[in-house]
Amino acid sequence: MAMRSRTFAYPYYANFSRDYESVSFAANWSRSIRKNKFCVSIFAEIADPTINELIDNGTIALTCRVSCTNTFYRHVFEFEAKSRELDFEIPGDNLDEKTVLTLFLIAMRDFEYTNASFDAFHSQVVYSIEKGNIMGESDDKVYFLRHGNDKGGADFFTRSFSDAMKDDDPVEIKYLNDSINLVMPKSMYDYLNYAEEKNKDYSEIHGLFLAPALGQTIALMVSSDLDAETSFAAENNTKRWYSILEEKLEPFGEIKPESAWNKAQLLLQRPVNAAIKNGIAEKKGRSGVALIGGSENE
Amino acid sequence: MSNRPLHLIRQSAINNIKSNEALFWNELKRCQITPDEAFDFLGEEYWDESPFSFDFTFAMDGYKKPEKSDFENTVRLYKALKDVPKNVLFSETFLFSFLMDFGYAYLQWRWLPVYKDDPHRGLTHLLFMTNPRRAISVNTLGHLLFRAFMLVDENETGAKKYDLLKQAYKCGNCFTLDYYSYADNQKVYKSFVSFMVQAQQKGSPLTNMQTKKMCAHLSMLQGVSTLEALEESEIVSLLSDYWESLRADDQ
Repeated sequence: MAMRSRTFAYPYYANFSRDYESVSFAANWSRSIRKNKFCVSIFAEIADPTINELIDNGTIALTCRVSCTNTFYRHVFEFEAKSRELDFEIPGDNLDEKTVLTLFLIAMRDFEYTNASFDAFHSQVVYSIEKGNIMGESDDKVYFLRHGNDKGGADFFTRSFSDAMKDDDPVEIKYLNDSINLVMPKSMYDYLNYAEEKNKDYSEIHGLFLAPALGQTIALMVSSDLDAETSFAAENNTKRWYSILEEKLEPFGEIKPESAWNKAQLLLQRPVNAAIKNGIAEKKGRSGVALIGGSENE
Repeated sequence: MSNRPLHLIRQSAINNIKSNEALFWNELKRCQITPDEAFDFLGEEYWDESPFSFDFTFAMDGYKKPEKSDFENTVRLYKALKDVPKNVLFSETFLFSFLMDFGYAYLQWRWLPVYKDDPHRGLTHLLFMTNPRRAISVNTLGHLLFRAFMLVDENETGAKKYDLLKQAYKCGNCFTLDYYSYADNQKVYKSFVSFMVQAQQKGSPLTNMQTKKMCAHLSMLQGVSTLEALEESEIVSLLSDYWESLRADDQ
């Protein structure tokens, strides 16, 4: 039943779902570039014993979907029956910038399904699963690849975040749509990849990208000289971002422009502090080479 | 004819055009720009040489309506550009440069009359005014190339390669699917088009509203199952089942 953008008629095994008492669906990814080919190796780890049993007897199988909308690439790679490991290659010419990989649990035949780990609401209910149904998914893995216009082919950003920042335009915020769009320099992707690889800790992304943007937005909202676009949004409530943010800021009472940064920090649960703490912890316990600044085949 | 080199426009020139939409569009409208003049207009320093060269012309003669040339031009573009790496081909720079270098007259003929008083919408056919996926599906060259890559059958030879593409152009509504990201999978796209073509050949073509409902249904299906892993016939069968239920509701 997990709902994100989709609704399922049966309990869904994913880290964002609450249909099971506990969920642990980890995909261990490694990738490299070889002769203009994007090579991926995956090892899937699933904690639930019933699902593991269904994989072992061939009722459920794993698949990996790779999609890159810039080049219209969308392909499913199927694991062999009972297997939790998969290696595949994609020609680099087919990928450009954002490439999303997701692991799915797929029903290989129709069967009746129940699981002792269902949450209380679904407990002891038997569901009819049809062949092809998606029964669960891992978190998305996002890679950002780029190519040279002259020769094509994908290669990874390998510059460090600080180097990348030196020659890029700063973040630009657009309020024009029914949302706030953060337009980031391409090299920011580099850093997003880095954070993604690094145990999914988003505090640095929040601290570096979102907090300044949110602070600027709050300052814009509370300043006395609103521009025409924002004034119109405020008066006519046409922008969801405006009304949502207004609601979130209500508990803080009156806000002055100079305290906008502090309020942004509070709304994001002080990401800068968390990032600093994580950074210290990581330095103490680090082993191996970080992605950025390493070789492309690490 | 022999191959002519393609000049690639620099990103800074594209940015200039985007900030001067009306000015650029008016210049195009007044037909004062030929490809050479375009270099001058945008500034010669904005063009770079590229490793690509082509022998290419768009089909324009003998068509009462410009849109009737779409199939022929799709085939020509596919033949000329199929070997260009996709991450280069579907870039804003390449598509715009190719159109200015090889398709200036085609642009004047095919799209200027449609959007003559709307520079912004007109430019959406030339440049990426929104996210790349959406932009390519409306780009003058991008949308034709996308259809070709999806529907040309490389396992066939000669004119047979382009059979499904030709039928799709006759069918019309097929291309509603272009705007859905799940259509990026060739198998899913081909299955949908095959279903639409079959329905037309059986004498019961889908209306616009029915086509939109079919696309929405396919969107729902791809959310709960991996359509890409099914056989083409299985996808067509899923569509046929839904089509039958739609028809039953309409009666």
